Amino acid sequence: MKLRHASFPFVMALLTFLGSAFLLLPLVVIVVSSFGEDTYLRFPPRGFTLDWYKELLELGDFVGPLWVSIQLGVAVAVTSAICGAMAAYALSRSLTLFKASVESALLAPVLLPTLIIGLALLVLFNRLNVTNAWLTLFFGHVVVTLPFVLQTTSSTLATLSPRLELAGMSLGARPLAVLTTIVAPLAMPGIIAGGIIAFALSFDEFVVSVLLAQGPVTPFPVQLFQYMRFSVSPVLAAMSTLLIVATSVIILAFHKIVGLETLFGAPRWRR
Amino acid sequence: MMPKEYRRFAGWLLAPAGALFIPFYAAMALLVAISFLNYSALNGGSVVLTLANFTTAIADPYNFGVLVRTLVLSMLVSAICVGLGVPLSWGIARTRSSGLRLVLSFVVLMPFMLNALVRLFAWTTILSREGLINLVLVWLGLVDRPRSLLRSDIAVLLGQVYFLLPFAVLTLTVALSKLPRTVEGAAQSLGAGPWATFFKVVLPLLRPSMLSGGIIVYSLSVSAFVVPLILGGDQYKMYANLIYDQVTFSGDYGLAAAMALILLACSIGLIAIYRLVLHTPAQIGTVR
Repeated sequence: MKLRHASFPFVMALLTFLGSAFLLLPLVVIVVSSFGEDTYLRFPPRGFTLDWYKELLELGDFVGPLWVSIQLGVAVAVTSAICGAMAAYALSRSLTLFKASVESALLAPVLLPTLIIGLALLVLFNRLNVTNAWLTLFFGHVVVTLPFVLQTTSSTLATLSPRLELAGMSLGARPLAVLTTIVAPLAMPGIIAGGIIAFALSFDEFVVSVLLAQGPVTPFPVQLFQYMRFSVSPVLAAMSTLLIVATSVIILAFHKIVGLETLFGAPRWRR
Repeated sequence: MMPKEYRRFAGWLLAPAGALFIPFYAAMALLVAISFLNYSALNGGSVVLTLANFTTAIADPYNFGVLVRTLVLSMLVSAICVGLGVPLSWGIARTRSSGLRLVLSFVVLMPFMLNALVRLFAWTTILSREGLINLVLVWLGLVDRPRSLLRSDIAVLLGQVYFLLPFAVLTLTVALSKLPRTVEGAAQSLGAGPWATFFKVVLPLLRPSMLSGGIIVYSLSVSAFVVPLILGGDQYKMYANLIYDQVTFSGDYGLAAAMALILLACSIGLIAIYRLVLHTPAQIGTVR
C-alpha cells in the first residue's frame, strides 16, 4: 500500500489543509463575488465594482432590522452577562445542596433545539396574550444565551482563589462589599467575554426570532431570511461580506480578552 | 472555608437568573401538557386527553418517512464530521507553531460564529447553476450541462456537515490537547512508526471523545431546521421543518408539541443514555 510509505506529517498536514479549505471556501466565494459586476452571483466574478455596497447603503432595508438586533443584543448581553456571572459565582461559593440540579436547570437550554425553545415560548405567550415582541424576543434570547455565559464565566471564576474573599472579610468587609470590590473586578474579563458571546449569539439567533417576532419588530436575521427567499442578489453578498468582517472582529476581540486557546482547554500562558 | 453567612449571601445571587428562566420552564411544562390535548391556535385547547397527536406525529406515513430520513442523514453527518474532524484537530493540537494554531482555530471558529443565514447564502451560491461546483464539474468534463444542485439530499448533507464540523473539531481538539505528547514519544521509543502510533495508540485513546463528539453532532443534526429549510426546499424537509409548518401553516399547536417531544427524544435521548451508561460529565462541545 502506498499510504504506508507516505510520510505521516505530510498526510496529516494535507488533510488539515483540505479541512480548512472546506471551512473557508464559502466565505472566500462570497467575499470575492461581492465585488463582481454581474447582476447575479457567479464565480469567478467578472470585473470589479463597489456598486453593490453603494446599493446596500442606499437600499436602507436593513437599517431598521439592524437597529432592532443591536438594541435587543445589547439588552440581552448585559442581562445575560450580569445574571449569568452572578449565578456562576453563586454556584461556585454557596452551599452545595441542590447545586448540581440548579446548574443542570440553568444549562439545560443548551441541549434543547432552539426550535423547541421558541415553540414552547410562542405557545406560552400566545396563551397569556403577550403581544409585545420586544418582551417575547428578550425572554427567548436570554434563555438561549445565558447558559453559554454561565459556562464561560464559570471557567474564569474557577481560577479565583477563595482566599481573596476571606482576606477581605477578615478585614471587616461586608458580603456586598466583598462582591463589588474584590470579586467583580477580578471576574470582569470573564463577564465581558460572556457578554460578547451573548451579543453574538443573540445577534445571529434566527430560529427563536422567526417564531417570536411579530409586527414591525423584525430582527436582522429574519430580514435576511425574507430577502434570501426572493433573490440571490449581489447586494446580499455585500451584506454578508460586512458580516464576515464583523464576525472576525468579534473573534479577535474575544482572543484579546480571554484567548482562543482557553476554548480548547489549554491554560492561557499570558495573564 | 467560607463563613456560612457569606455562602447564604452568595446563594441569593442565583435569584435573577432563576427569575429569567421562569417563563421558559412554564413554557416547557405547557408544551408537554398540550401535546396530550387537542389544542390549536383557534380553539384554545379542549380538556379531552388524547394520544392522537403522538400517533399522527409518528404513524402518519409522510411524517414517519421524514423522521426516518432525518435519523439516517444525521448518523451519516455525524460519521463524516468525526472523520474530517480528527485530522483537523490533530493539526490544531499538534502543530509546533503557535501562529499556525491561532490561524487554524480562527478558521474553525469563523464558520461557527458567523450568522447561519450568511453561511447558507454562501452555499446557495456555490451549489447554484452558475456556482463554483458546477464550474469545476464542467471544467473537469464530468457533466456537460450545469444544473442546480440546490434542493437535493446532497445539498442538505453538505450544509449539515459544514454547520456541524466545528462542534466535532472543538470536542476532539480539547481531548487531543489534554493528551500528553510523551504518550506518542513513548510509543515511538518502543519502535512504533508514526502511523502505528497514530492508529494503535492515539486513536484508541481518542475513542471516548470521538464518541461524544459524534453524539453531539448527531443530536444537533437531528434537530436541524435552517439548513434543510434553505438548501433542501419543500422536497427535502427534515423533522424540525414539519414542526415549523404545523405552527405557521395549520396552527395545530398540540400536534407541533407532540412532534417537538419526539424530536427531543431522538435528539437528546442518546446523550442521556450515553451519560447514564458511561457516567461521564456533560460535554457540550461548545465554548467551555
